[in-house]
Amino acid sequence: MKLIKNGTVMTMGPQGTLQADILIDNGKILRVAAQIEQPQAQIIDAQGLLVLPGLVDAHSHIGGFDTINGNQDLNEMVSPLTPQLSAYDAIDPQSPLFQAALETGITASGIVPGSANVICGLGCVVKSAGKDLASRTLRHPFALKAAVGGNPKGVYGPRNQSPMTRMAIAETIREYFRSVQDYRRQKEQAHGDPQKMPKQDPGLEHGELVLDKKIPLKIHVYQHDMLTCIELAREFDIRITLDHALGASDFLDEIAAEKDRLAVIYGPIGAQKSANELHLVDIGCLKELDERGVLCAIMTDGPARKPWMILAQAGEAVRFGCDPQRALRMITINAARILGCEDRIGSIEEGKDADLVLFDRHPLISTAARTRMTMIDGEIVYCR
Amino acid sequence: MLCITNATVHTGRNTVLENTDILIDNGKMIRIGQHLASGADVCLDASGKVVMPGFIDAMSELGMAVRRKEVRDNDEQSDPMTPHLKALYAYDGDCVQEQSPVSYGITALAAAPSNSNILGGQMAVFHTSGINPFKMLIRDEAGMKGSLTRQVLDTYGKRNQSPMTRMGMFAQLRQALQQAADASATDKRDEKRNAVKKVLDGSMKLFVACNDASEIRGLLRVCEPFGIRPVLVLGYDIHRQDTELLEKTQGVILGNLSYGFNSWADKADLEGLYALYRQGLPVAMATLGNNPNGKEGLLWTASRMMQASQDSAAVLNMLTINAATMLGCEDRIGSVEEGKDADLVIWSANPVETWQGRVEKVLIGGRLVYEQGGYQQ
Repeated sequence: MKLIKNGTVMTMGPQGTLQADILIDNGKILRVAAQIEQPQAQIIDAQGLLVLPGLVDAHSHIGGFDTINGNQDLNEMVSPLTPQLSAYDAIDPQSPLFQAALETGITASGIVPGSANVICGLGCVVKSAGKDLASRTLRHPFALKAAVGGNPKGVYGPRNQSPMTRMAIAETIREYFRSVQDYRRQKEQAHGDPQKMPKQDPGLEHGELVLDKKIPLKIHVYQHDMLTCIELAREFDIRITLDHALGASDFLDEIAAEKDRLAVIYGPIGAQKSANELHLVDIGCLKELDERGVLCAIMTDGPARKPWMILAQAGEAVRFGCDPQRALRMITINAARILGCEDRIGSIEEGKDADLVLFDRHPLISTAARTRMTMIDGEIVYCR
Repeated sequence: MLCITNATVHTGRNTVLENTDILIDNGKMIRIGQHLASGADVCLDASGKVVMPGFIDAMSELGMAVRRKEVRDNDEQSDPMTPHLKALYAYDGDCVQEQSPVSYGITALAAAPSNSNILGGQMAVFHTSGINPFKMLIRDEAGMKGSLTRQVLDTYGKRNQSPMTRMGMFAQLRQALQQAADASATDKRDEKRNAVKKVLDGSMKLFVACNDASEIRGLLRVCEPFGIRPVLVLGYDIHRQDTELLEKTQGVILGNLSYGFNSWADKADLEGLYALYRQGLPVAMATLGNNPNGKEGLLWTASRMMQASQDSAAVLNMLTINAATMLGCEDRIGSVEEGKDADLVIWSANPVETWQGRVEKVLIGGRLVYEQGGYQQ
């Protein structure tokens, strides 16, 4: 049992921000209230500190890329359609990138395959610390990853294979979901007769999860390709997330109109601008999208950016006009909702996992703010 | 004449002046003080705003065509020794404006040859707004740029050319310095050797990219017999105990920290580097890393140094006057002082201390070159 005393608690939940103590037992938040007394508890003095829910990175590849030796296990570049794959099989739970995430305060990440293929495979939500991968996994799958634009073009085009163009990418996605629809129809027409059932196809089964709106199609997308994604989402009546989404400020109306079926996961920024996919860099669009009710989050695309870049990019959203509290939601509760894990993480509420981070200043106002402590399931996993 | 009025001015010389006017004429700051508006034709009201000297990206590839799939014009990968080449000819006004460093308060940068060559060529310091690079030029031959990073070995070694190893890299650098030292007036003309001689006689500082401690130690070992005190660039693997750097170098230009595949940046010990800074080691900051970074990275590096040092005056110095001094341009840029170029940024709040600091207006040479607006960063 632990008791965090005297902190300023930014719950990101219904209790808002308050001066309160947090009682933790058995990995869960037991109570959030002023002046809790519990003689059995280990006291953590948070006087002068801010207590936040652990940060949530809604799009990452940590554990599947090795930044030292360059090995990677998340881009199976042999076919543009690999829906049968799962990032879960690639993750090294011992990767030092998880420890690095804890030093910033990232306690959970939505880990997905890379963007080499058009339909890439399933993603899962993994905590940055814990006993083993299975117990650290909050949700598997949480999304089916897809990619449009330059990445799949750049992999298959030079081999003189399809997709070489954006035309073929749109058709590849459409054909995949039509196949899923065909597969489902065959299953329905079998009326439970095993003789008439189609041969089981894991890749198509994963597509059914998307058609059933159990998970979203999580699409790597930049600039005007967002419109293609929105059209396909409407055509198949599926939920999507627009991941990366640089250039979204050009299509605020189109995105906001579909806010019930989509979310935006913005980033990473910081590369040089270039023609096409990196021509418009516009993290300030998150203010407008958020105000229009679009669910927004900010990603590191780890390990493409260092973990602390989740705060720096949320800071950039603040620089370009976002309210700091709204930007904080984009790396906590909003991200948790997008990952379908808001029952467990993303806010400080009684009954949720005790995944917490303590800062010495507001991390989206002060550039000097430091992570002082990170906790997962009530255990201190980083302390400065 | 133009006057910025009622500003909170951070001079870059460790002072903050409240309610201050800056009078600008002919591209220069001619007076800094109170009640100067009456002498001006145009006034920019900066009440409630923060005015800082423009930031200096102390080692940069911005503006040299680093677009995807294009030849990078600062990256002459035909020969690991190109000390005679000049970044002056790679810098393109259109290209740098596309990267928009002014939108993050960067008004000058040191255009540098890439990290691919042991001696890549000569740096030039430019303003960041304009079309004609020769008019944007602040100082040519601002330094000799070298690299002892893996990028050199990756470039030449895989072609079965030297240098394939660190042995080859250090030997070539030593040999180039020795040949320049041994040269006599009767020798056959050699432009490479002539360029290296400028390093030996001190007319150009040597700036060398090093990712880790063994590269730094090797560099110092090669430089010492020639009396050269280099500036370390990238400089990730520097720690509190490395006090020898105070004697053996002319400072450190800290490279990009944000890019995740740049695993050397994980060795950065900014608390240690700040401790050395307090003992007198000059420190500046740069967008340069081991990949093409945008302008945002400079302020992100500053934020990391803020977290390590909690010293915003020091961090501002690293972004301004320290860079200007290392690059030999402190007579023109790097601080708010009478007689210097009117390279000034009006911020909504102090961007070194808060994420809420946003560029509102940028002046370069007294000319308004950027105003906040739109979504494009």
